[in-house]
Amino acid sequence: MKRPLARLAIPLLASLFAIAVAGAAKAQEQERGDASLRMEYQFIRTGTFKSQGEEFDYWTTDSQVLMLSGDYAINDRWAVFAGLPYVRKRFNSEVDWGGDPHNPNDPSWVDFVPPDKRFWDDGSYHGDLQDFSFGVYYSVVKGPWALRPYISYGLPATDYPFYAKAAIGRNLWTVPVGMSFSFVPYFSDWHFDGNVAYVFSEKPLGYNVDYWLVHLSAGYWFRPDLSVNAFLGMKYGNGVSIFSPEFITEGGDPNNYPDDWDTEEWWHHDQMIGNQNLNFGLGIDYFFSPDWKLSSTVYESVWTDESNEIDYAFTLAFTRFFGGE
Amino acid sequence: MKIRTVLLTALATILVAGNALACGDSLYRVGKGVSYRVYTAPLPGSVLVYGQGEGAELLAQELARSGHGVRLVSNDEELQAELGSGAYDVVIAAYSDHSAVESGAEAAAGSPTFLPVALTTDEEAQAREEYERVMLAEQDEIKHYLKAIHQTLKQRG
Repeated sequence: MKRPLARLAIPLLASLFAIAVAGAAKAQEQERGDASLRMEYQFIRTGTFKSQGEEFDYWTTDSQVLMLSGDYAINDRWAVFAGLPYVRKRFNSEVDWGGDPHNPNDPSWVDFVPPDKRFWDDGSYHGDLQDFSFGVYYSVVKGPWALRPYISYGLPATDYPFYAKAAIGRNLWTVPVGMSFSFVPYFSDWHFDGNVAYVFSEKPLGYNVDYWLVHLSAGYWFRPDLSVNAFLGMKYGNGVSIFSPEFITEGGDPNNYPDDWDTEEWWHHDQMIGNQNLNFGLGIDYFFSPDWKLSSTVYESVWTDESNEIDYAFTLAFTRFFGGE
Repeated sequence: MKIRTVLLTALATILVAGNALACGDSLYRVGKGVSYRVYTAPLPGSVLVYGQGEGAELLAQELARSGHGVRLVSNDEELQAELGSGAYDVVIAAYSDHSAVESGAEAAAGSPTFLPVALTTDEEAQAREEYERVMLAEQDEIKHYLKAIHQTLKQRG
């Protein structure tokens, strides 16, 4: 009688009680009809505003985001994707004098009178649908590498106000052009992912506010259904500084705030300022069935310029996968 | 499928979120999801697994999932018949079965490479005197089997 390979199973069992993945031998490739739907919640607390070495630390904001996104493979090369977030945000004054809420009804608006009188920095949450985004990408898989150039278009889904510390977005259209890539070494439990995009943006009052978005991550599968990762996210690009003279009335004194800041440029300053930041975070992904995945991250800012620091952020997402042909 | 869809979803997220800025608010960046872990065989080969029980079945399943062509046999008659077909690049079996494997392999055209699985470290040491690559049952995971098969296939040209 031949001896069974019973003990061969011992080291394998832990890793082989796997959820079957169809077509796994070509895991990085796609098939027509592959799709996913993702619902994500985010909470973000931002604090100190930094600009050219100066810090303004007398307010914070809280953002809550509920984002629905999905994708669909048209064939083994092309796929479309889309996303729509609902964002609600709150301005928190941390000083007795109010912390400089942005109010379009202030009497200081004389030389320029804001056309939108909505006041969102009243300390309460205000929310709306933010920017609808959709795009297409092409998939190239070569060995352990997967490259996916893409182009997308984002446009405000609603006419939300942009003059507020609690504004939910810039209210500008964007066209990101980029490349995502992943590298999964053979016979390894490590995985590396990246995403680099140059974002062409609508020009508020003619100012160039295009920017780069970069995301890099390194992860490790502790089990086939469980991975943790560390990531860096960066935004870097064009725009003006909050100390730019464009915001001051002609012949005005920048120290005479807000009376000499009643310009159209200041009204649009949240669209014009070149936010730049570098964030670091940790994430975890867990498949609790073949078709469902739970993802979570925490992150914070490590460098900021012309932008508010992220004091802390937390995300939680569920993804539902649908198989293709 | 999973890797692709995760990347796509993340794309939509980063693009929309990247525009969620107000008064210097920072980039909304969400978790970059990953796929279910699946190993892939860069050089798919033809593998014969000889053994009984769940361990052998799981090994055969995982090798097939990675892209190899796999046949699982559980008795000596089947083993000899498959070896005689000359259709395999690699044979995986317990080291204690090496006589049966070697006798069948010698008769086969193309003579597949035997990848023995030792059940103990003593057996492993003994096997290493005869074979270039030896798997240790209680230590090696599927990725190690795949790597050993890959190296064998490369060596065979």
